[in-house]
Amino acid sequence: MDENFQITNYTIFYQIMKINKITKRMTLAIFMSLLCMVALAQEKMISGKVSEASGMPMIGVTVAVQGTTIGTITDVDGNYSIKVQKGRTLQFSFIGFITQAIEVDNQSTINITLKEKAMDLDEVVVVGYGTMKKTDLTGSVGSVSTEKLTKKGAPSLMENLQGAVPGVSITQSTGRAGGGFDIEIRGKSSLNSDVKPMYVVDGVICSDIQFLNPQDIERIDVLKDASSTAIYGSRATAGVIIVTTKSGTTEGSKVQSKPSISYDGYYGSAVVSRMPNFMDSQEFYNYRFLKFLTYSGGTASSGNPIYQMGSLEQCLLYNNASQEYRLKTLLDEGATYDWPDLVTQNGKQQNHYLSVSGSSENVSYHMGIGYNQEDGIYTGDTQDRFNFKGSVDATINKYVSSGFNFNIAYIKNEYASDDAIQIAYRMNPFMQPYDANGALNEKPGNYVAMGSSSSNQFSDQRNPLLYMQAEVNEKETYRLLGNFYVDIKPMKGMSIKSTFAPNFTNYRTGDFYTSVDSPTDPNTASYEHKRSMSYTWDNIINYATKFGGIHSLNMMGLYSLTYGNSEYGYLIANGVMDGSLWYNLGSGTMNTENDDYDPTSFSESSMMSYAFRANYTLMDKYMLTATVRWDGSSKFAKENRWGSFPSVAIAWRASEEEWLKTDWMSNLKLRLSYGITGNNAGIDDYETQQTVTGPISYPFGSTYYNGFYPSDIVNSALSWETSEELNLGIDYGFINNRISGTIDIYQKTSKDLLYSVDLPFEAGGGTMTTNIGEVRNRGVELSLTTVNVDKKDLRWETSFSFAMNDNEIREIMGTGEDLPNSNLFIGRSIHTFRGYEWNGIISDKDMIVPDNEIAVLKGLTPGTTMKEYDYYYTCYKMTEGQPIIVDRNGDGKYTDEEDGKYYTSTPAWTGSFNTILTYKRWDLSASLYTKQNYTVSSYFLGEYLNWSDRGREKLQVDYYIPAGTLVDCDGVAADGTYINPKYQESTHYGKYPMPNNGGTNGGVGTDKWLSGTNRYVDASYVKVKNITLGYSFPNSWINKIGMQKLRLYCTVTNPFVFTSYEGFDPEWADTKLSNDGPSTITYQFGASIKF
Amino acid sequence: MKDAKIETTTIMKYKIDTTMKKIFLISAIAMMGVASLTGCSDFLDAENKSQGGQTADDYFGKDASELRVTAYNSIKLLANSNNTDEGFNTTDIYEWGTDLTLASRGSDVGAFGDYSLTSSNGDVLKHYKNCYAAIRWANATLQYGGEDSDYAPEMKFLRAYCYYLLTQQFGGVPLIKHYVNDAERSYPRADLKEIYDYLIEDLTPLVIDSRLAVEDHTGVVSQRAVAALLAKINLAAGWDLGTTLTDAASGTYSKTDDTYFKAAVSWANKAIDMGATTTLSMSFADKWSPFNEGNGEEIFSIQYDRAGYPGDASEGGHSLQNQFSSYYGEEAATGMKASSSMKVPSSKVLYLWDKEDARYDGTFMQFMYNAKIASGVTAGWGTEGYFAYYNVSDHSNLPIAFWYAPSYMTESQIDAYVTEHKAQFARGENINDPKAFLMGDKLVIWSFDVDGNFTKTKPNYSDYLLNINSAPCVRKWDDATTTQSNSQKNCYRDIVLLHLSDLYLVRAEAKYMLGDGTWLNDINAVRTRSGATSLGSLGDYDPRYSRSASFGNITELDLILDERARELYAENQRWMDLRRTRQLVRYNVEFNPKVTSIANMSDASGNVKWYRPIPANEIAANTGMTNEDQNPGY
Repeated sequence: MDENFQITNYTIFYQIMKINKITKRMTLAIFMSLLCMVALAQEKMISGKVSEASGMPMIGVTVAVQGTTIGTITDVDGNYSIKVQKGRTLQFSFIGFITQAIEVDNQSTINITLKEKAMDLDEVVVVGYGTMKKTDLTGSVGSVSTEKLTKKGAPSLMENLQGAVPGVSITQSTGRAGGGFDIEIRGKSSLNSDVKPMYVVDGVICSDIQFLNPQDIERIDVLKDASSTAIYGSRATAGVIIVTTKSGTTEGSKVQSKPSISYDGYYGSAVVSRMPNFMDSQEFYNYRFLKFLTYSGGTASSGNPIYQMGSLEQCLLYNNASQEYRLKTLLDEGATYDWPDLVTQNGKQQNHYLSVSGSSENVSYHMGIGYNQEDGIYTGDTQDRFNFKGSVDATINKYVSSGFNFNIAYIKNEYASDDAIQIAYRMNPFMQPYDANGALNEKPGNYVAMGSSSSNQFSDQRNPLLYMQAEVNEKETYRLLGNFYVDIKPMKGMSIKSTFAPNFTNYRTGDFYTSVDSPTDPNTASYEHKRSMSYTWDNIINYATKFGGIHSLNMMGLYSLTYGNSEYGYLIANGVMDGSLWYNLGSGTMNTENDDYDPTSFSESSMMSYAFRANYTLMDKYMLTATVRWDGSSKFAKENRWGSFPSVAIAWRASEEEWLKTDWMSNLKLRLSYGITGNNAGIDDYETQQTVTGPISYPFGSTYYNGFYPSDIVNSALSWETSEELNLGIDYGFINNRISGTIDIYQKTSKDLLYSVDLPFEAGGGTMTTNIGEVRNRGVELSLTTVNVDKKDLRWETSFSFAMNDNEIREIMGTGEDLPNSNLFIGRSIHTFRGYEWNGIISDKDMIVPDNEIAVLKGLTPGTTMKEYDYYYTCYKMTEGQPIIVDRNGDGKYTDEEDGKYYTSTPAWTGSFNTILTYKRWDLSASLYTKQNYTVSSYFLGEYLNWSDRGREKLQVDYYIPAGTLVDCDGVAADGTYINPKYQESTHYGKYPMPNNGGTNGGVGTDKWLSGTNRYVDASYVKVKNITLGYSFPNSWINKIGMQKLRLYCTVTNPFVFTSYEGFDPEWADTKLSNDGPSTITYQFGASIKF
Repeated sequence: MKDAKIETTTIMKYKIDTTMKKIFLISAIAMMGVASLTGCSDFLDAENKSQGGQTADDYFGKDASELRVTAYNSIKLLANSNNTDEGFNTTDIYEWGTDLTLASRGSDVGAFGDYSLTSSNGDVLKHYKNCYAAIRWANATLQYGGEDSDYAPEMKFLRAYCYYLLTQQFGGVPLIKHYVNDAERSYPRADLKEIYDYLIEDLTPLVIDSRLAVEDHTGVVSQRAVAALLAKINLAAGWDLGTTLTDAASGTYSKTDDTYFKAAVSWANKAIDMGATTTLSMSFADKWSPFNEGNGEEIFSIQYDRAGYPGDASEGGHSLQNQFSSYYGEEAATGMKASSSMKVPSSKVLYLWDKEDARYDGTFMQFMYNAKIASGVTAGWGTEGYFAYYNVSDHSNLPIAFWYAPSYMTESQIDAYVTEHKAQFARGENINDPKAFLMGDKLVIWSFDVDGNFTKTKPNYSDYLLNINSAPCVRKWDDATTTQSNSQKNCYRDIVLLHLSDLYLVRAEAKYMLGDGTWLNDINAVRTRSGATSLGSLGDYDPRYSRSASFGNITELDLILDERARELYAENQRWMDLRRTRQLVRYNVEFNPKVTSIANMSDASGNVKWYRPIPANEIAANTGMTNEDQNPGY
């Protein structure tokens, strides 16, 4: 393919061109834009008034002369006047209202009443490399408008998108400010975790969209099925999210208009809420006391052993000198602390966006500046983001138009110390944050802070508040995204458009911390820098024609080049000057030992593509779309470089058939599509080349030598992943579209999945990326919007969406075998893990001996009755109060294959519900999001239900205590008897194991509980995402002060969460501890103003 | 006029048409130009600038000497942990589940200790993987450098050493003699005899290979190291191929073949005699002094060097000094070294050495000194507290934090000692509460007040091991130059893999198996060097550790194993010694509190776990193996 295009005459010239590909191409594009031409026209004066059905005058209605660029807008009283030639048509348009057209005859006054649109059937949808009328669409595309996006008031675009499009699953992955999101469209189609949907911002392919200000978004279109995404070829398997930001053409109108100034902003406070139920001081005391009980005599001789206090001195932190048990004293004095409260604060957030837009006869423009700021609930977690935006579109003449659009973002993140966050919640209530002078204790749990003797202490863990002070971690990011285009229309229906779109990202991370552990040379600082540049140069030729009155054909051809490279640098030094942050690494010693130390690196990749698309419509009823794309990528070896990705789709607008037309059915369209897409994410730029790695250093005697070695074995046959997808969809609308929605069902089979196969250790034990696996996703997506009430003053609209995706691994390594260590099992979802099952606590109740192998082996008689603890002691050496781990085959042993249970962390279904109620000038909206029926492995529970340690804070849960257990005493007498002992009177049948130190694994008996089952929980949740109440001031008031629009609103975000998950927030239940944190409720107050 | 107008219009139309055509033409040319200029295939060739455009083949094809360094370096992970992703506490696999080492505070002997290993155990996997990684780099160096290169013999030694470790833990494993750098995934297990014979055949010519020095103390493979390894391989082969197990529980066997034992004796003779130091004349303490590395008894060791280390020295060492000890409190504030509380001596160990034997004091640090603190940190790091033992010449007035008195002392002897040295045991303003211990099952603890007056308690030994300060540290691994730090990668002692007294014991074992009565001479050579009594016959040997009737009488083999424990304690050989000599079950049942019967070390069908499981990942990734190939018991 590529060879065909090589023209030898150009070879020398090409060599020169390659030196500076960008500038040369820019020159060419500018040259084209310099071509100019001129055009002309004459008229009579028409005036009139435009009003709503209620009689209210409408301001800002566009009044345009069709077929020209002449136009005006109505004033504050709804009046307009315009010069127009007789015979021309005047067009009145306003967003949300049905556009009306009136031919000018001899009238001099034309008064118009505009009707509101119930459902916008003329809506235009953005598809790859173009737009389509929604009615002509053959694929599955979900669209979200700016109003819907910004209404939810979250500081991040992704959170606002949550629940907006069925089949698009968005999950916040951390509890930290400015944190990340996981996004999946129609389930996971790759075994590779790097695979994310492709983002296209104003034609530029981006790795994320979090840097944009939500207020700058015009619309978001999500391409879901393969017939829609295939036009993006080798990168489209995970779906495509197309973001259109506001521009001159969308904000200013096509006709002359005065500049309008808009302001949108809010201020909010995030209140820490729904804190997990950590132990208070008395609860922790009780827990710790039990944790020092050991079996009398050292070992358990029966299923209900007697416990003795192991070391009361260590348990209750005895002070030899003052002869007091410090925990008792502190408890009595109430000198205990609520650590979660000490390390968290209420967060703040604000967002401001100011924009100016307008247009003159041939030029429209839009400029914006945004500021977004967020303070997290951890001191030191902050994000500041500035956005600058500019867009100009110019019609140079009848044939040529040109324009540019840029978006610059500056983002500054400061991060609280990960160590601090991880440690903070581990501090038990007795640990003393401050010393007698109010200064921070270095080690809040050691004997000095606790006032006990040196061998009696909790731990030498450093104070998390010190870590918080000791670390400064900052990231500054600059992003520039732009495009520059020339659009030539050489003949009717044809346009040739060349767009050059650079994408530039530069970030710097600085980290400085003063070691709380190492007092000599305590300061470590690192400086990391990455510069990425890429460009995409798209050349599109479009031709649209209608013929024979019933045929409509639209064709598009694309030739596109993408090139990107990045440079990376990282420096780390120890012992740098106090307070010098990362700006004086020279004052310390460079640390080259760090395993991840990678001081400088470079990477580049390129891609060349051709694509073709044809849309054919017959009688506005039957539609056919066919596309094909060829991609060539530098990541693959020469012979495997090119791939082709075709698709075809048909649609039938049944409601346009005469024989089906009824009053109640306003829209019925059936769609059927098939397409092939690819994915090359997760393949490094040089994955098919074996590289040299190192150095390591090794001494012979006292002289060190450097060693290098080859990287993992490479697979030169590597190629794309491909997915085939079949989609069947129905769009429906009833009763004048008061009831409307879509239904889609799909099946996507992804083959040749890129997977790093573990090589046998004989081959180095590394991994090799291969195209082997297969995954299938099948699902249903529904959306339903109903206008429940549509009265003059009262309008109530609700919408539901529902999505179900069934994910199934069909092949992993080509051997038909599971890969249990990576939690990949054929026939199950990718998000599956295998673990043991915990089924209650061994109690002192009676049970029937089951008929299984181990019971018989141990000489028990199945069917007879015995105490639970006797049974479990005999068969499993487990004692009362310890957890029962299910031994599925009853052989007395635990093996993963036989006894493991499969847990899936993909929800069975997700749903959302949105409602908007408007009454006169008030609007009230709310949305709700839910994920149902899935299990997570929670790091949080793993930590806070870890009964094997006894110094760290725990979750207060209902644990089992056998009758007769020593639960407290005031001391141990010389003869070994307890002073004032308290015993558990009757068995407390708790749900969780008894804390103690008798059995193995910290008393719990089985490592299966500690290493897994205590953290497997259902994390289903229902979240009320937001409730917003707004008021739009009447025009008659605000016009007096020169405003066109003033809306004030308040929003509560995440006010209610319904879940059985006991950790911080079910949404990030599986996050690592350093990313974990409580959920918050955000209260915002905001304004939208337009002048 | 009218005509003229028409004409003008025509002209205008013509002009427009011309312009339109021009635009069309220009755009078309532009598009074509674009397509052709960039249509060259070079556009899709990404250059890897950080590799200088080279691949690994290009690079090492020119010079493989840097790969040689990698091969040596990769042996590190087989002997210790430095807590990298690939590493783990290798002492777990070598020392737990034996008669000598127990768990301490906060740790659990886990699957190695109670024989509940499964094929999904991550540490077993790492060990298997690390051995093959080292083999692969040795093979790569051989391939890129060629058989004729100066370092080919060294690589063959390293490869053989890895196979020696693999066979001891896993039995027959895939035998890979070439550098694997392709997508082949099938490597079936080789027969144990095939491996031993290959190693012996491969190593034998190297003993006289002039590319190797006769001996070397800087970590480079020498002829003597090859001979020593041949002795050990032959001894193992003697047991594995020349004896048959009779009964696992009693550790009985019958001998079927002498060949390998004979070879073991002759290679041991060769290795002992070929160096400058052939007799055990240096004292045990000097041999293991941190200031006497690379001495004449050392034959091959993994090298560490603090002074020249190019990175942060607190991160580049190993953790062996942290492994064999109890946690003594936070280092900066107590003056103690960083310790992981991982491995403490069993009661049996503490009774192994008699009073005359200098090896108790040579192995354990009896006295650990106290330290003062200022602002939470010891001011005199290195000269106070733990490292004062090495860095202060006069110990007589140093305040004592802990004394781990030897088990042959009596309670009253200790009473007398602590009374006499009351001033040293007085806490004063020091940080640690002073204590003295009579170690072992008959544990007695003396606690001292500020003035040095004591009280005594007698807790259960195994319970007490769960506390801090509960056991002495092993001096063999102490790095006296460790600076104050809580890092557990801070030990720069060379890790000695082959040394002279081990060879004496290898020879004794091989001779014993051949029925050669002179075997006791080698035992006595090792004993008398450290002052222990010379034994005339087995009857002279009556160990003090307690044992049950079911353990049976003390045998010659028990004596050899006890002597190995005394001489080689904490050298990461014990599990392999017990397996090789077929005493693994007998010793665990008797001395390992986690194993009470042979059933604990067997699967439901009674298959004894003589080997480690082949990692499940390996069976999954290696298409040449199935679950059928798994070792018995798993």
